[in-house]
Amino acid sequence: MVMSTPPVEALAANQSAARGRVSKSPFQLALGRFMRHRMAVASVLVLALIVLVSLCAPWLTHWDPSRQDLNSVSLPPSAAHWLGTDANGIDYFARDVYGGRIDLLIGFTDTLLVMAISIVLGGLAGYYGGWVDAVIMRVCDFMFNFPFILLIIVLESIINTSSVWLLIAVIGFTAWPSTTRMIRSLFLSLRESEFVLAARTSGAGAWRIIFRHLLPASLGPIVVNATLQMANLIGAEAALAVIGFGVKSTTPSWGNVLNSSLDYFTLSTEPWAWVPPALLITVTILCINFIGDGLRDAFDPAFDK
Amino acid sequence: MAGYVVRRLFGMIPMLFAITVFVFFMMHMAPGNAIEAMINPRIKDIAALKHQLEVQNGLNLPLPVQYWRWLVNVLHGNFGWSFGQHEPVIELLGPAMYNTLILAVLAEAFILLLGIPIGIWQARRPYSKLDYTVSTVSFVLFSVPFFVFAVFLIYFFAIRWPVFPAQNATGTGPLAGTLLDHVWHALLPAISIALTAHTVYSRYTRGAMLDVARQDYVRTARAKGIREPVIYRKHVFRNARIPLVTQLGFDLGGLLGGAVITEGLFSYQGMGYVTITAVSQRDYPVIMATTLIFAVCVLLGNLVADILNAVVDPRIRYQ
Amino acid sequence: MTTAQALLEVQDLKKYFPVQKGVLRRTVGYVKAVDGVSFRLQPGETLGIVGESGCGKSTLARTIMRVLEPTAGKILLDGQDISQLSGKALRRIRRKFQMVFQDPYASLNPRMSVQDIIAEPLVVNGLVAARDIPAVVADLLEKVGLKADDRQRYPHEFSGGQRQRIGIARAIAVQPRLIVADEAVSALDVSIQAQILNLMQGLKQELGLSYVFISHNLAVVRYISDQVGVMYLGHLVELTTKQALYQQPLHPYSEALLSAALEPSRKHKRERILLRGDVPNPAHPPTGCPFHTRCPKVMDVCRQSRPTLREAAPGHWVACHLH
Repeated sequence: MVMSTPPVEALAANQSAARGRVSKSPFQLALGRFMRHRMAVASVLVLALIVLVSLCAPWLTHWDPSRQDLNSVSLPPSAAHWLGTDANGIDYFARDVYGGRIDLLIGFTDTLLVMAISIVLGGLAGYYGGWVDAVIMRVCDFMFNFPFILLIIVLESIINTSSVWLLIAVIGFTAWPSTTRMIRSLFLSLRESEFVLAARTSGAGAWRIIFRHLLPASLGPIVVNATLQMANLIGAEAALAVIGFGVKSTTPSWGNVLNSSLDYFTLSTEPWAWVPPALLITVTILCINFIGDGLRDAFDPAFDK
Repeated sequence: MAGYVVRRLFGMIPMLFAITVFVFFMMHMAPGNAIEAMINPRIKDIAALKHQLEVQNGLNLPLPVQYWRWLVNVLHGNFGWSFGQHEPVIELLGPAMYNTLILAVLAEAFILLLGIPIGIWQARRPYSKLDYTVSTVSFVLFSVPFFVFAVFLIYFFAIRWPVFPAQNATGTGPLAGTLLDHVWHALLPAISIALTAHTVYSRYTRGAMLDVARQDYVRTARAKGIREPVIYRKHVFRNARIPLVTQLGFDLGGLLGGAVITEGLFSYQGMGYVTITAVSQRDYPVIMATTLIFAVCVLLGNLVADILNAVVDPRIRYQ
Repeated sequence: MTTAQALLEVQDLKKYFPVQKGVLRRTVGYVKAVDGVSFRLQPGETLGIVGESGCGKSTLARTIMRVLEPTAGKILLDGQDISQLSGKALRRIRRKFQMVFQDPYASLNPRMSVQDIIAEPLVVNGLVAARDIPAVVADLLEKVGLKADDRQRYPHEFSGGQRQRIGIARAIAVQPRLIVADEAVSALDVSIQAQILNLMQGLKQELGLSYVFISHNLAVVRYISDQVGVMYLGHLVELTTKQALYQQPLHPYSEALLSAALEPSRKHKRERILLRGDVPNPAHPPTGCPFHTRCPKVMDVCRQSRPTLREAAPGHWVACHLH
């Protein structure tokens, strides 16, 4: 190799190339990639509509989703009852629009809960390793070998769930291990990456390394995982409701509406009773999954090329 | 290999112990018990009767003693007496396990028969319009909750056109109780599981095949003039099946444990159905037994996954 | 090697990685990545460390940087043993020695702006008030040949060479005495390597730095070093001035390395020595001299006992039974 003074022109050319365009932060680049995923963008709109409808339920229908009216049971759709009434005389449309509140509340809160637990436990296990890691991973294994749905059912019968918050707690308590494992392995590999070593040699402490380097670097996979978790959790809640282990049957939720229609008579003659909640659950989960897919692209810089 | 399996089997013991202890103590911490659920509250002298029944069933003993008695009994093959069904737990579970086995095998067969061919088909024409369309459809199917499929299948194939049974694990008539009758009843539940679950396999198969197809040895095979179908059969799929096998083990563990929701929806008398019934009746001995069996199935599924891995991947050797 | 107060003195440094097996993660053996390395670095000097990949150079660098826990031995910085420091004391002393990393893409956090990256050591050590940071960073950027208004940009907007300049700016931000550069130019194009090496040479003069410069590239090490150490399988087998090593290598391994990197301009041509076999597995190193399995001049004694580093000629240290 021949050593000489640096070719100044080349250096200058290099730099002006970098300066030619407006500087875009990684967030702006990710947003651009997300916007290119059409299904994801459409899903954001549809999901926003579903959320809006649930939130605005009182303005969309004047029927009370829990008040029984034995003078008007099992009515077919009409101008007054757009989707008819159920066997207790409750308006189906009202049950469907109010039902979204419970499903979305459980899905959203449980996702936050699962993420909080997983970031703390997975982060500790991945950053510190050693016996901390060993203990947390043992607990994860334990939870993994415990079928999710069975555990919820057993816990529910034990605690005798009657409130939404208890159900949220039970679902959250059982759903964290997979995300915890993911965050742990992310942290484990990131911990050895050069920019984290650079922070350590700079004299940064554990907190700064975790919050300034490890967490931001794991944000992409964490957010993608969170959306997929939310889809799962909404599905799980609805599944529990369908076999009668969800929130109280008088509380309107999509799963409950579906559950109350599961008899020969309703299934065969009143499609307006069970088709809308089934579709609402499906569309909600589908939208969340598409958004997750879009986020995966958004956080994958390889998509830029 | 045999030594490895034996060690893994022994390794399950602490996990099973922990799970049963957890469920046992959680269940007994809850207020109320099966005795209360069993006896008519209008009976005179209810307290005395309750006490007598509790003593009979050992429910007045300290919890660790009760657990110990349960454990000793289980190790002797005695799972206890079902409060809810009034028969030995083992007699309740025998048919349920048989039903669940049929459903699990059938569902897994559908999953594989759908998922793998679709994945291979896609991998042969990657990034084409057809591939993209199928991927999107798979994505949508993956997002549909299986109970939604179940409801629609019941509506179309059991109510609208009553072809298949949508209730119970066995029927009536001359064929009742035969294997054919069992399979016939497991058909709709199995399809409802497979319709969403197969997409995992088609995605894995496609991805793994594409990964392998990029490898140098596949290019070499092509350069040697080996025909495409042979390349795919002998080189690509042979290596691409390795990740599938792992998934298969996990699936089997889960399915054998019982598809709780599906069995509940179809009133299919398998392990999941029995568990749901037992939970609503606070039938502790049954819950304990099913929990144990679930856990064993999941653990065995993991072990099977590892063993199958070694079978299809010559690089893995267990000592 | 003189007896004056060295800036960095490494004494019999060892770093073993346990090899674990089985469910119970029993330790069945050790990979001796660094096995008894000693050297001294005088202020203002550059020590180059060369060796094949897998010889333990990077582990040595990271152990000196205290990113890896040393298994045994001492690391004296300005006479103070830093091998046992931990927690706050270790964090506080880190500003005296900084590191430049190999991969200019992996060593900069892609989510931080250049200013945040360069200022990080200043911020965590509380050396500069928040309002002064832009000016300090601008100054540092100009020192490494970048423009002050590159501050607000992100790493992905820079080329490899420019990124390495950012990494160097981060390293010199806290005004360290010592910089450990681990393959700092290996990932760059040859023309860019020269620029970065010149930059580092310039900064050394300007800021009174000392370098431990680790590389597999003999030409690079020759260009930048005053002293050169040759590593093989976790051991330092030869340690001397640049001139002595490149004119007259004593260790057969050094000879082989140099002969493999033939340069067309070399005046006295040396015959090319081809090494047979592979580097032994560091989990099962050979007994005796670690090089005896591949040494063209192997003797019986080499298989029995391990030669220690001895001063074969003034200032020329070698671990070989021939000398």
